[in-house]
Amino acid sequence: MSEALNVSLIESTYNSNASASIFGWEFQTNAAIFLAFEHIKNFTEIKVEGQIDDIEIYFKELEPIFIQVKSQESPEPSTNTLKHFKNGIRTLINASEKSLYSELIYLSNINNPLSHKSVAMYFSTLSKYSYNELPSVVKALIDKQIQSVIDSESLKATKFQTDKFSIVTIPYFGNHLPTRYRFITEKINNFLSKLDMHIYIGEDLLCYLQKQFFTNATTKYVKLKKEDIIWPIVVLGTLKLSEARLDEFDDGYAEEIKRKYHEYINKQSHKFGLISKVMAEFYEYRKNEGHIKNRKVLLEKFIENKWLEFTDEINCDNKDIEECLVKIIIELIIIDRFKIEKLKEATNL
Amino acid sequence: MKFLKLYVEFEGYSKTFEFNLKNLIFSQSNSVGKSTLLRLLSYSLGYSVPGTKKFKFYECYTKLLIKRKNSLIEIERVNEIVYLTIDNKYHNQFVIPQQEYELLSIIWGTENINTLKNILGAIYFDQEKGWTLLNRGKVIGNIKFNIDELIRGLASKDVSELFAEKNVIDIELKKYQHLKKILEYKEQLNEAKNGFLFVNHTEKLYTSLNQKELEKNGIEREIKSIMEALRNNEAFLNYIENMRITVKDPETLRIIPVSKATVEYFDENQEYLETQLKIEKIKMADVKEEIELLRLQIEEQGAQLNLQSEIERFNEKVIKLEFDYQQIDRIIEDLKKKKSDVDKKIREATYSNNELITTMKDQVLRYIERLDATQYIDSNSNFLFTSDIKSLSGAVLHKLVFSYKMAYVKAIEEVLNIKLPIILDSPSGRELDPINIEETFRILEEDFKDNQIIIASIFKNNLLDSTKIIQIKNNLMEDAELIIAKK
Repeated sequence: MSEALNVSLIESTYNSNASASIFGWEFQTNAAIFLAFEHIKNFTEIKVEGQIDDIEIYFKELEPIFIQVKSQESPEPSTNTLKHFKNGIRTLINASEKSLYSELIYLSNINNPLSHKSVAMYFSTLSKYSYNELPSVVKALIDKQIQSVIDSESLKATKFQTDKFSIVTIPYFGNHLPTRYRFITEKINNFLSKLDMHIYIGEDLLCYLQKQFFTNATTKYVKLKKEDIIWPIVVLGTLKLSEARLDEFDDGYAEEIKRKYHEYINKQSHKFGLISKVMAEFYEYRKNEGHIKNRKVLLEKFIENKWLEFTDEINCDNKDIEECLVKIIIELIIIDRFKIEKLKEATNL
Repeated sequence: MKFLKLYVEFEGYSKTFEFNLKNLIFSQSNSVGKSTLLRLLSYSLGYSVPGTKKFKFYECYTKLLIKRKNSLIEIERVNEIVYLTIDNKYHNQFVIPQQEYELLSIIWGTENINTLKNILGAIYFDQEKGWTLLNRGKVIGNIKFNIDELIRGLASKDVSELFAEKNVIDIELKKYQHLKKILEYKEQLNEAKNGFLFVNHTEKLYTSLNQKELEKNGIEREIKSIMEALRNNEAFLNYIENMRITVKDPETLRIIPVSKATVEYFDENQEYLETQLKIEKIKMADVKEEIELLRLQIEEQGAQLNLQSEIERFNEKVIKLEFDYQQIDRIIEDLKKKKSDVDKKIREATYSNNELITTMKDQVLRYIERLDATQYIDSNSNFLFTSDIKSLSGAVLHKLVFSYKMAYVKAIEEVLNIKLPIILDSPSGRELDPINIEETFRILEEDFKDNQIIIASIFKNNLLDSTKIIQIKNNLMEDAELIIAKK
């Protein structure tokens, strides 16, 4: 059973006096998003407030990771800091008894989660240190806490392995949200930039995930699948695609086209029949023009030479801008497929 | 018209003053009550003349006996009530000041208001204002003199229509001037706050609400269109699946059914659309929340509106006024011009009484000549109506005032066909040299032989023929009789 820090969190979000627990829930969910990107290549599912712990990460060929999350609105250690840690250890011990695991993690936003001066410098920023790496004085402190939990509650702790235990800190505080979220956003942006994707969707993506899976969730138990993360990247990236093709029109007209045909473009570019046709034509073209290695050049040539073949399918009533719209739609379809392929590759989907 | 007898009751005492044709109210020193007696004469006639601190007229009972032509008129006054008896026959009762002109019309024998209004100013020389009042100004208390009015009155010239017209323009003008001030105030508001604070907050909320509603409609359309795409794709694939088409891989010779699971791009496209749908739904939830919040704020604002201070509400309304300032300014200029046109017409109506004015001017010139002051007046100008008296010295003004007033008296007598009493308060206490004072008296003696003349002075050296001296030693009511039993 997961430890009771965030008990009834969803209920309490409707209680305005529960700001501290709202903060705790928020941190827990953002930490889950952070961890999803941390393990994006291999994870299959992330559970928040699952049967076993605050956050559970599942893998195809690896035992799960269990994470205990503790937070304080102020990042400075306080008199409660060690109590938090002790409670966290208790839940992790319980988790270790219930399931096999590859890692046990105590995760917090406290800049000195053990409230001990010898490790202050270890955790003041985004960090992860395993038990084995920590100085012996701290190891002793952790051992003492573990022993105290075992003694006071006569727990069995046969399966709790300190060498699989780590402490993670994610700086997460401040009323200014970009500041509060900066390490989460950075994590997402790192992933996107490695894929050569527009990183400016990082904040939007985070906002979407927060809302879709946590803020608007009706139950506290949340299951996050890899697809849940991948698809928003594709969609958000598409929605923000710059309309370079509209450059040939003057600004006012371009704006009008965008406004008027945004829906139309969106609809056309997701007509399954059209997608099939465009992709079939494109692969055919690629085979014949095998000498063109640059994908961008290839795409441009394809659009230039083949756009007329899709006018019947796309059927635009405004002949002035038909060429432009058809080209935008074809480009969107193909680019989205590229993107999906790339993402699948990067995430082992 | 002559004052014969004034009976006064004051603070339980009574006293009677009797007047001859020529009278000097004399005292050795000032401030014993000479002026008060002169004023009391006017008061007892029915004029709204104020008393003094020591002698409150409204606490008096006065009974004045005058002779007009061959009639004896008795005027009893108690504060604002006047009883009139003519030739021992009770005539009527009047309330002053409401019926003042009604009463005066009987005393002076004319119903012309403009004339009635200006008789006292012609015959009465107050010790303070009387000797500087040339042709326009205050006689005493709130009684005014105006040469233009007098001339129109004497000539029976009715310009009341023009005055009514002027009045209408004045009212109109005032309205526009108020409006102009408000527009200037609006300008100030705009400058001070750039209008920002005063723009109705509720309206701003409504504008935001409208924008959000539009946004919501947009999202709704988007959601509809995505769902439609999802359905269409689904239907398309269902259609193909129903056809039970299979394909054969030429290499492995495997038979593959064409279905949602095997058709390329189908799943991922649907996933794509599903995600898009989720994003739009989140947007929708956000917008709905914002709309709800705005509605709440508007409601609160509505409640607060009643608590807004009046001045804020006024400011809000002022800010919304849509008037062309230049246009208002033009209207004001137009009205001013109209007003001055009417003024001009009124003046023309006054000045057109050539005969009367000429006679009056000649009379003035005659007296001025006798007082050796002709050099101060341009006899060819419209000097009767001059408003430039500031440049004149005290002595010269004194001469002019005497000359003008004597001319007024003559002109009024001509029209009313009666002799007017002339009341002079302290004629010698001025900057006049003895020669001019003598000349003043000579004029009175020669030209106003039959007029009753009442002079108040501390000098006894200049006396008209057979002057009755009414001496006051210490105070007006000295030697008064105790009223034993009041009627």
